[in-house]
Amino acid sequence: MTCWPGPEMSSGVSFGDFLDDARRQVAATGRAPAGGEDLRDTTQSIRRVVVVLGRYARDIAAALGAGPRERRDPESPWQQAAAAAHRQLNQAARYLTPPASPKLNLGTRPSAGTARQMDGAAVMLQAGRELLQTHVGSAPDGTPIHRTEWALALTSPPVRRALLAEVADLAARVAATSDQIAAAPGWRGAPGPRRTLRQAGHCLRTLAELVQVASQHEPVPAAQRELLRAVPGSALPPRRLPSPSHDIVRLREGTIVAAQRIRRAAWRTATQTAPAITTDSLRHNADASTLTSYHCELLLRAVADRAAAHFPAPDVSQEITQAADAAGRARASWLAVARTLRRITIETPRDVSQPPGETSDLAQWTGRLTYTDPGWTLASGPAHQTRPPDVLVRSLADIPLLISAVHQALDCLEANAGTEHDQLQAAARAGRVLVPALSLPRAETSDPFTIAPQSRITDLLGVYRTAGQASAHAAEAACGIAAWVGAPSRVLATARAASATGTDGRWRSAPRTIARNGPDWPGPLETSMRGLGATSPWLLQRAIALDRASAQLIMDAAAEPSARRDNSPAPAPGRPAATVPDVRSRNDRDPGEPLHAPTARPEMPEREP
Amino acid sequence: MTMTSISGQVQRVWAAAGLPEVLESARSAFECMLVEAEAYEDPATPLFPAFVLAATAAASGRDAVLLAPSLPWPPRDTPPGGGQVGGPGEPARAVARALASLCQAMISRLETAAGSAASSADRDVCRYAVGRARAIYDLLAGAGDE
Repeated sequence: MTCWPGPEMSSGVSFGDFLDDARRQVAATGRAPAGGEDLRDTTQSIRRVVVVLGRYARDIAAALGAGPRERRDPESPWQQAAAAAHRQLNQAARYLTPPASPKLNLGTRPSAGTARQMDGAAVMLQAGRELLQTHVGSAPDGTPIHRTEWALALTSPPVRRALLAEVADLAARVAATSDQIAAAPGWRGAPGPRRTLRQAGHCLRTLAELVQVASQHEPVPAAQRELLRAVPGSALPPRRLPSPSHDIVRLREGTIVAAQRIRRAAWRTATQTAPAITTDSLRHNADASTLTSYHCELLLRAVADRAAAHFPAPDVSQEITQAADAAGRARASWLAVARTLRRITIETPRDVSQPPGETSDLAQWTGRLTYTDPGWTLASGPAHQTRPPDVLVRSLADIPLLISAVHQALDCLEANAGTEHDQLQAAARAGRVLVPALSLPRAETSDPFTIAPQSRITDLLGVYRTAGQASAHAAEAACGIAAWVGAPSRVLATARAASATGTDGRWRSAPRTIARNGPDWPGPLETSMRGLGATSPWLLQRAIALDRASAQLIMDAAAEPSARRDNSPAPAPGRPAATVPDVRSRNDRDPGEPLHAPTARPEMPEREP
Repeated sequence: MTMTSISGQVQRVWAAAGLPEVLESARSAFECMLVEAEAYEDPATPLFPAFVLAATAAASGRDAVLLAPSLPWPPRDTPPGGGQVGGPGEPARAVARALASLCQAMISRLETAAGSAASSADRDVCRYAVGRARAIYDLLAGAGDE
């Protein structure tokens, strides 16, 4: 599962801010010294910049050399450029390193003028690198450690190339400054630093030329550089709900923050800790996703209305209307999920409870944008008036900003669908998906809930797959609009492309059913019992229950944060449909236990299984 | 058809005597509300969000009641695999109001049942079901007021 926050709603700075600041400070040092500056001080400040650039180059070289593609193509110009950049920056740093001398104690003097600017650039570059490392770190052996949903995109070759291009650009600027400084009169200090500055400048120019060659071979698209610049810090704003006093600007921002948080949660669920699903959490999410896509549809139609007024050509308005139609299809598919979930239930351990999901927050934020009622909530009454389009979009500048909010909201729904699809798949394998016995024809059980038949599991996974695909297509349609109108959220598409997670590739490969008749069924204990000639239904059903408990134990272990996650299929214990009683009765329920944990009643079978 | 079905449920809830009958009428009423609310989940009407959320609340209420120890099992009047089949034939606002009145009846009867049930599990179920019925009432009551 891959997903990315958008740039404009990160309350903090983005990587591009650090780059810009560093570039500005490096450029400001190109002037001749005001007089009285020590060339040794300035040389050491330049060295600090070079050292930080060298760290970037080391990260890039490691990443570009670690991917499978690069192993197949070790002589690619970009890999050569990355390795050479690392070498040249190291060499430049060595040239700039002062000879060991007990007389030198430069660190204690406050830097002035040019040196101060260079020091400032080094600090900015180091801060930028640390920002990137909040998303992806590296193990001692160089293996990338993914820390957020940005990691896949940041470790992708296209974004690494974009980063190397930025490093080369900065190196070229530092080289120009070094040459200028070396040639300028008026410096104090020994003549030695002039020579080392020229030597270092040569290394930096060589680096820049090599990257230029690689760029000619395989250019870095502007979108990749834009994506890189848009990378925010990993910390997300805290969870919050809309206030009646929030204006449309704040509601747009809140929508995007809620979407960011949902994406982060989906990424964590897919890669780290998988919280237990409950019937309530699934139903709430499905309802909230239905309403979010419904609100997005209404918002897009309002934007289309205003676009028709603002843009002379009808194309933009038509495209937005098509995106609204796609959001409508997402709404319909999520409604199908909601309806299906109303007819199943998930067997949940006693101690599991789920707080309301943040998908409900997103429905509320988008609802506040959609309706005129400043206090609208999911529990509000039956009908509410929608905001008139000219209130929602007061000027041309509002169009891309509202498109961004809608785009972000639609984009995170696919992440939700993927996460829940996978969790339900695991639950179905463990026999934890139940249905009301009354909903089955010819149900001959005295239990209120019974194991869902295969056809219901297939339907359930199918509606999630459809919702995931429809959400992805709606997000893609919104992304097209975002690119067209220059909405900041357009980097979402670049990030998807960089991390090779297409819109619905995962859904095409998702299994459509759970193989209960495969080699894992019947389970080992049941097989052994039957092998021993046991025919007692009580014995056989105990064996089935133990097989199931074993499978659940494995599932629980796999959900532990420390468990290895290599996307290999989880164990799939077999379960005969609608015949196996569960392990506790309705009467055994603890009075304080949440009511979302229905179980079937254990009774001695009266018939041979 | 729809209104008849709902008003029949209202009468049944009011007529229920004793905890088992109250529970059974509540289960049947929740099932009825689920079917009817789903029939009116029409995005072309402004009642769409309310019906979506009401349908899910009805499903949760039904599931809870199914766990009540005192619920007669199997239900006497539910055909296997069945339930009422509704369909939009009445104005959505009228159906919303009818479902809200069904909720009122359920809240009243289930609150009484919660206060008198001997089993704590039955009491918990009744209280939870009251909460679901109240949520549906809040969502649907007032439809047509504006």
